[in-house]
Amino acid sequence: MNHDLTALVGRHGGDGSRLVQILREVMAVEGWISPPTITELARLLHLSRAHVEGVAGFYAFFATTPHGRFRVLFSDNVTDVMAGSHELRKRMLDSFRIELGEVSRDGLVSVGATSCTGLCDQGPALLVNGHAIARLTPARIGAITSLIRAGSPVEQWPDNLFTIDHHVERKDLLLGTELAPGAGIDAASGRGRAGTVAEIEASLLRGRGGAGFSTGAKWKACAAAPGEQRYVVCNADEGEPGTFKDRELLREWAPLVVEGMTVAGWAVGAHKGLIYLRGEYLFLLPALEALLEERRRAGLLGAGIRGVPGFDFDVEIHLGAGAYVCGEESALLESLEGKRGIPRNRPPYPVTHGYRQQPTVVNNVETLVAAALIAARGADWFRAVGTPKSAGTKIHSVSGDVARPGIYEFPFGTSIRTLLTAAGATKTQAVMVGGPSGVLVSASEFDRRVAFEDVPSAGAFMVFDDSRDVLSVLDNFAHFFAHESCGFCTPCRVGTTVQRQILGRVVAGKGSRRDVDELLQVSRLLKATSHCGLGHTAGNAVLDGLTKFRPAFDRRLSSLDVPTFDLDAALAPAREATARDDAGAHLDEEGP
Amino acid sequence: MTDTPEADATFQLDGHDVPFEPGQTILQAALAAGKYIPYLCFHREFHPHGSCKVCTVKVNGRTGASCTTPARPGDVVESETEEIRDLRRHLVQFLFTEGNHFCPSCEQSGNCTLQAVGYDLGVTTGHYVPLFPNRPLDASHPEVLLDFNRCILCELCVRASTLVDHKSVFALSGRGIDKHLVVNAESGRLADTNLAVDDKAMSVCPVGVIQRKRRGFLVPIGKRTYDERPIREVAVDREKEA
Amino acid sequence: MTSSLEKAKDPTGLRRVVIEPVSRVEGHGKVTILLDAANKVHQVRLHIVEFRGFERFIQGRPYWEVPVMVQRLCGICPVSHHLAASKALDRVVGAHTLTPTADRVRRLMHYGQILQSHALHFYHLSSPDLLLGFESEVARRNVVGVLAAYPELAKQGVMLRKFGQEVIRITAGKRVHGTGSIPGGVNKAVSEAERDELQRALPDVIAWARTGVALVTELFAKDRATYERFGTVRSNILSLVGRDGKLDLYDGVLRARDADGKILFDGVDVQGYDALIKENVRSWSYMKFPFLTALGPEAGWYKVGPLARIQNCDSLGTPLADAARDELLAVTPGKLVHAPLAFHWARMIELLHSAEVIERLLADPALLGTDLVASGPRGTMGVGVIEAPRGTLIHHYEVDEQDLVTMCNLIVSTTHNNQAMNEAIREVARQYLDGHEPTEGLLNHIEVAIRAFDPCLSCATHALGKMPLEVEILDAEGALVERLVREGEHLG
Repeated sequence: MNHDLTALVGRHGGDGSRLVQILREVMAVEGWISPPTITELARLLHLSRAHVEGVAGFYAFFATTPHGRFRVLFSDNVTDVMAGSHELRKRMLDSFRIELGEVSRDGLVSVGATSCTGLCDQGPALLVNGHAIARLTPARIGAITSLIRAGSPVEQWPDNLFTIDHHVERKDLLLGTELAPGAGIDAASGRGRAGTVAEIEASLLRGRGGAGFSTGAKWKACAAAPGEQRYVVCNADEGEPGTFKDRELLREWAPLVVEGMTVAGWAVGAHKGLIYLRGEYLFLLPALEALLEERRRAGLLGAGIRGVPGFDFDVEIHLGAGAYVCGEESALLESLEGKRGIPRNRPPYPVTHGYRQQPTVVNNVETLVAAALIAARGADWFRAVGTPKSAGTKIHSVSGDVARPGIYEFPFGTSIRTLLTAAGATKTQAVMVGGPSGVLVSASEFDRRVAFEDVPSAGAFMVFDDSRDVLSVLDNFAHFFAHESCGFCTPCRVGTTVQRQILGRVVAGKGSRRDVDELLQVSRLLKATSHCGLGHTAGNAVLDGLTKFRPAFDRRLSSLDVPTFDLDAALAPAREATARDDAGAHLDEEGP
Repeated sequence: MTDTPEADATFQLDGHDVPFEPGQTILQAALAAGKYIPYLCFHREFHPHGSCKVCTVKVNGRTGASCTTPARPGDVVESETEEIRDLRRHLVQFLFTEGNHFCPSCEQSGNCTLQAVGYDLGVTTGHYVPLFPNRPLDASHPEVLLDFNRCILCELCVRASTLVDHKSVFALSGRGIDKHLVVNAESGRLADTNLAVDDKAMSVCPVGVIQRKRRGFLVPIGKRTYDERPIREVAVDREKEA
Repeated sequence: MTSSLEKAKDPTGLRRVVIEPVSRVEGHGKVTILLDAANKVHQVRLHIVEFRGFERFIQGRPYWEVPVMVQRLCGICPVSHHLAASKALDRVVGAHTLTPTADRVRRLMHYGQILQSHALHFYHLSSPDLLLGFESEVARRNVVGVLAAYPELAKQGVMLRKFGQEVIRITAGKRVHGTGSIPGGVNKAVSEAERDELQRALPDVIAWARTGVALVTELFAKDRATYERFGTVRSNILSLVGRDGKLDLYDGVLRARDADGKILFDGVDVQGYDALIKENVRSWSYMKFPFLTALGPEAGWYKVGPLARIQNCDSLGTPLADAARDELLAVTPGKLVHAPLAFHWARMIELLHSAEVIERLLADPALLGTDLVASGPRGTMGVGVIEAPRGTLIHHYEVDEQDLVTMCNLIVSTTHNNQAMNEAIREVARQYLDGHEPTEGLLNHIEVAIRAFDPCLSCATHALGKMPLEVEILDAEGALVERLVREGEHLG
C-alpha cells in the first residue's frame, strides 16, 4: 500500500500543496485515510503529520475512520427531504439493518447524509463512493441495494443509474447567445489587456457568487498588483443548497467558462487558471478534462494562444472534497493550496495576495460565462439588459414545489412572481431566494424583484407551497450551517450549533418565548462578529422566519413563558452514573 | 488604500486619539497606547489570528476584529460601549458553553485568560445550554498533561510549536463544533511527539490545556495573576514591559 | 441489631407520611413513615434522595486536582475532604512524613474546620430544638427565634463560627473551598501577623466554648430522662485515635468498640480500612450502609462522630475539654453513652477541645516555617482518613503511572451513621408516634433525632452501582407537582 502511495505522491510531483487532490485519490483507492497512511503521506510530502491529519479531518468526503466499502451519502437538502429522501434512506438502512452513520458489520456499506449535492431539480439524490445518483425512487434504491449487496464495483454499475438530466427551462442573454470558440479571446486580444479590463468595467458586470463585487474592478486591481505570477480561479464550488446552475453551465456552456477564464487571464496577465470543482460534481470531470485537451489542440489554451505572443494560459482542475465554506474565495484558495479550507483574514485580498500569495482573480462560473460573451459582444450589449445597478441577467436554479424545476435565465429586475409563474408554482407560501444564506421571501413580497437593489441572489430559488412547515425548512438550514461551519471563529463555530439546538427545541414544541429571543440574539451575534460570509448569513433564514412567519413560531411554542427543559435528557448523567438505561430509567412524555 | 499613514497618524478609540505606526492593527495600537481591548487568541509575539473575535470593535459603524483590522487615520472605533461589550460577553459565553470549564478545580484558575476576560466583561453564567463534550485527557507524556476540556481553539500552541519551536507538535483537525486539537503522532499520544517542557508551545496556552504535571496548586488561589489585578491592567502593563 | 421497622410486613393499605425535606440538616433527605388506621407504625426510613456521583467526576482526573476538586462535594465541611484527599495523595507522592510546617498548618486548618462546623451545627441548626423545645411554635423554632430569646448566646455562636472560618481562610487561602493543602504538604504557611491576629481572639473563643459546654451540660442535667432515652439505640462505635490513644482528629489509627465499650480492634493502619468495613446498598436510598466486616451487616453497624470519638479515645489531651468529658462519662459510669442527644454534648466538648488545640498550634513556631512540601518514592494508591466534624471520613484513591486517578472510593461520616440514624428514628417513632395522630410537633421529634447526628446528606450520596431513580417535580413554592419513580421495588 505504501508503494502505491509513493507512486501516487510522485504523480503529484511530491507537491504538498496538492494534498487535497492526493487525499481524494487515497479515498478513491482505499476507502478511508488510515493513520499509517497519514504518517506515510506526511513523510513523502515533507509535511508535519499533524498538518496532514488536520486536512484529512476537515473535508466531509475524507474519512479518517473506516467506512463501508460502499459509502452512501444521501443529499440532505430540504428539497431532497421534501421529495422523500428520508423515507428512501430509511428503506436502505432497514435493508442493510444499520443505523445512519453506522458501518455494516461485514464492512460492506455505510449510509450517511451529506449537504446539498446540487441535484435539487431531480432529487432525491445520493452519492455512492463519490458518484452522484439522482431521481431516487424505491425501485432505484432497490437496484442500488442489490448492486451493493452483490459487491459490484460502482464503476461497473449500469450507466442509466448515473445519468443527470438537463432542465434548462428558460434562456436569455447568456444561455441564448451562440459563441464560436475563440471569438471572445480574439476580441479581447484585439482590445489589449487594459482594453479588456476597461470593457468588463464598462459592462457593469458584478460577481454572480452573491457578493456582487464589480468584476472589472477586481480584474483591474489584480492586474495592477505586484507579483511574480498571477492566477485566474474559477469558483465552481457550487455549494449553496438549492443551487445547480453552475452544474448546467459546466456541461453545455463549459467552453464559455474556459473562454471567460482565458479572457481574464489575458486581461490580468495570468498564465495559469484553476477550476475548483466541487467534489459532488465528479461526474463533470471527464468531459471537462476532454474539453481542456480539445482547446489545447485548437490553440485556445497553452502557449501563444491564437498566435499572440505572450498570450500563454492553461487551466487545471482541482476537485473539492465536501466543504461548503470553500465557496468563500479565500477558503477556496487555502483548499487549492492543499490546506484546511479556512477563510483568510482580509486585508490583504486575493487580488493582491491570492493563490500562493500572488495576485489572483476568483470568479464565479456564471461571471466567467458573462465575461466571455461581453468580450465578444461588448459592454453595451450586456448593459442593455437588467437594472441600473444590476446589469445583465441572472440564472436561477428553481426547485421545490414547482411544476417545472430547472434553470431559468431572467434579466435582473424580474419579479419573484414572474419566476414562480414561469416554473408553474401554485399555492406558494415562501421562497428561499439565494439559498439558506439568502432571503426568505413571504407571499406578500412576491412582487419584489431579484436584483442587487432589492432581493439579491446567488442563484438558488427554492419554493415552498402552503403544505410545508416553515419551521422544518428552517431547521434543515440550521443543521446545514452547523454541519458546514469551518469552526475557525467562535461565533460561527458555537453559534451555528447553539442556533440548531434552540431551533430544534422550538420545532419539537418545547420552546418558549425566551428561545425566540435567544434565536434573535444568536443571529445578531453571527452577523456582527463572524469571520466570513458563512457565519454572517447563517442566521438570515431564521431571522427572516421570525420576522415574516412569526405565527408559525408562536403556534409551536409551549404555553409556558419560561425556559423549558428536557427532563429525560437531564437524567442522562444519572443514568450513566447508576449504570442504567432500561425503560424504567427513562421518563415518558406524559409522566406516569 | 493608497494613503500611507503619517508617523503621527491617529484614530479615535472611544473618543480618545490613539497613535499608530504603519502596519499596526487597531488592537496592537490600542495596547501600545495603554488602552485595553479584551482578546483571547491574540499574542504579541505572533501574527494576529482573528479567530476568537472577542476583540470585536465597531470601526466607522461596522463591526470587525480589532486584532486583524489595520489601523487607519481618522477611523472612529468604538470598544467600551455596552453594545460591543454585550457581543463580547456572548462570545465568551459561547466558549464556556462549548468546552468543559470547571474553574473551581482548574489549576489555571486565576491565571486563566478566559476566566479573566469573563470577569472583565461581567460574565456571570454560561447563559447557553452547555454542550458538555466528551474530551478525554492525554496524560501519556511523562511531564505534560493535555486537558482538552478547556481548549478554546485559539491555535496559540499550534503557532508557537510551528513558528518558534519548529516542531509542529500541535494542529487542528475536524471542523465546526467538532474541531479539535491533535498532536503530531500516529498514536495520537503526546508522549510520541518531540514536545519538550521548555518549548514555546508550553507557555502560550491562555487556558489550562497544556500543563506541567504534578505541579497543581503550588500557588494558592487568591495569589495568582488575575486574582490580584484585573486583566485590563495586567495586559496593558505586560505590553509596556515588552 | 437492625430493627423490624425497616420493612413493613405488608405495605398495602398503610398510610404514608412523609417528612420532606428534613430541615436544618445539610443536603436533601426525607423520612417516610407507614402507619395503619390506628396510627401504629409499621415502617420508618430515612431516604437520601439526592444523588451526586462524585466519585465518577474524579476518576480520570490528574491526582493533583483532587484535593481541590473533591471538596466541592460539600459547602460545610470542604476542608475535611480537602485534607482527607491530600492525606491519601501524600502517599502517592511518597510524602509519608510531612514537613513540620505542613503538618501544623494542616492541623490548624482542620481544627478550625471542626470548630466552625460544630458551632454552626449547635447554634444555628440544633439549638432551636433544645432551647425552645421540640414542639415549640414552628415559625419560631429556628436560629432567628434563638436570637430573639437568647441574644448573647446566639451572638457567641456566630462569633465562634467566624473565628473558625478565619482560621480556615488563613490556612487554606479562602473561607470556603480554599487550596492550601496539596499532595505532599501545603502551599502556604502562616505569617506572624496572621498568627497574632488569631491569638488575640483566642481567649474569647475559649470562654465562649466553655459557655457552650456548660449550657449543654445543664440541658442534659435538667431533663436527664428524656435526654438519655430519646431515640437511644445501642451500637458499636468507630473512630480514629492518636497512636498514643488520645483523641486526634487529624491523624491516627482505627479503633472500634462494641456497644459495651469492649475493644473490637485497635491500632489498625488506615491503609487497611477496606478489610474492616464493607458497604451494603439498599434500593430505597442513595446512601450506602457500611458495617464492620467481622460482625456482618446485621450486627456490624456502628456510630461515628463526636460521641463515638470522645468515648473511643483514652483521653482528649487538653485540660478543659478532658474535664468536660469526665462529666459526660459519669452519666453511665463504665458504660458507653449511646443517647443521640448526647452527641450535642460531645460536640460542644470537641469544640472546646479544638479551641485548646488551636491555642497550642499557634504557639508552635513550626507553623511559620518555609519548608512546605515533602516528597518521596512514588506510590500508586493511598488512603486518607480524617475525623471530620461529623465523624470518620475515608478517601481512597488509585493513581496510574500517567498520574490519573483510576479509582476513587469515599466513605463519608454520614454514611457510617446511616443505619444508626435509621434505627434512632425508628426508636423515636416507637417512643413518641406509635398510636398517635402525627402532628408537626411529633414529626419534629424524628428530625431532632436525625439532627443529633449532624448528618451531611449531600456528602453522603456519591454511591455508584445500580440505584433507583426517583424524580420529583416541584412548583415555584416547592409543592410537589409530580413524583416519578422508576423502580418498582422502592417500597420493597
